[in-house]
Amino acid sequence: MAFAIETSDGRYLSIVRHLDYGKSKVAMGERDRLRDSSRDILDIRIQNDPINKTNNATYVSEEDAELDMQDAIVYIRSTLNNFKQLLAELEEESSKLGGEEESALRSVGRLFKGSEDDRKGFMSRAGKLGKKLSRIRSASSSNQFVAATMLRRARMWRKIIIGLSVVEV
Amino acid sequence: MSRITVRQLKRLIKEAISEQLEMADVEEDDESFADFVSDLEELEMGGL
Repeated sequence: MAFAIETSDGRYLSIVRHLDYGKSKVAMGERDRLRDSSRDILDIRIQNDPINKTNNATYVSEEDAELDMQDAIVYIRSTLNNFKQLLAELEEESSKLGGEEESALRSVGRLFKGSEDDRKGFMSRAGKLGKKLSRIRSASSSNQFVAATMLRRARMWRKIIIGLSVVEV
Repeated sequence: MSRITVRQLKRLIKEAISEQLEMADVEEDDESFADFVSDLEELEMGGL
């Protein structure tokens, strides 16, 4: 009889921990050796089958699987909380960029309302403002991409930890 | 990109911070949490 940690969409969680002899995956029976230690989680993977070519994600007892599942939930939840802080920093940066962009756009408005006598000065200032706006918009675009990508992955992991259960396989 | 980009970003961030997050239909094959954490660390260091 073997047990595994199943996700809500019918896949399986594989929990990888640091062991004394290096990096190793938790396989059948290994949990017994880990129970009284505090081995850090190295990775958590989602795989389609409880046993595949590279990993065995099964446990000899239901209790072992339950313990690992709880550890995984705590670990993922803790990282997702850290992620919220990073997003808050991104929000602060995006607000700053928004302010810089508005300021640059006001400068553009003033430039076009100014005297047309100084052609050379006009071109120089227009070039500088163009570069500045380009930098600001590139940074905004990058922030948006990072936030959207990370958010998508964070949602997936949150969905995972909500729907876990221990099953016999 | 325009100022709309910044607004969109703010909206995304507020969604993430909210406890009322509804899970999107996201599917990844053989996803590794360590990869996600590694990307977060890079983000923290301004690497992304």
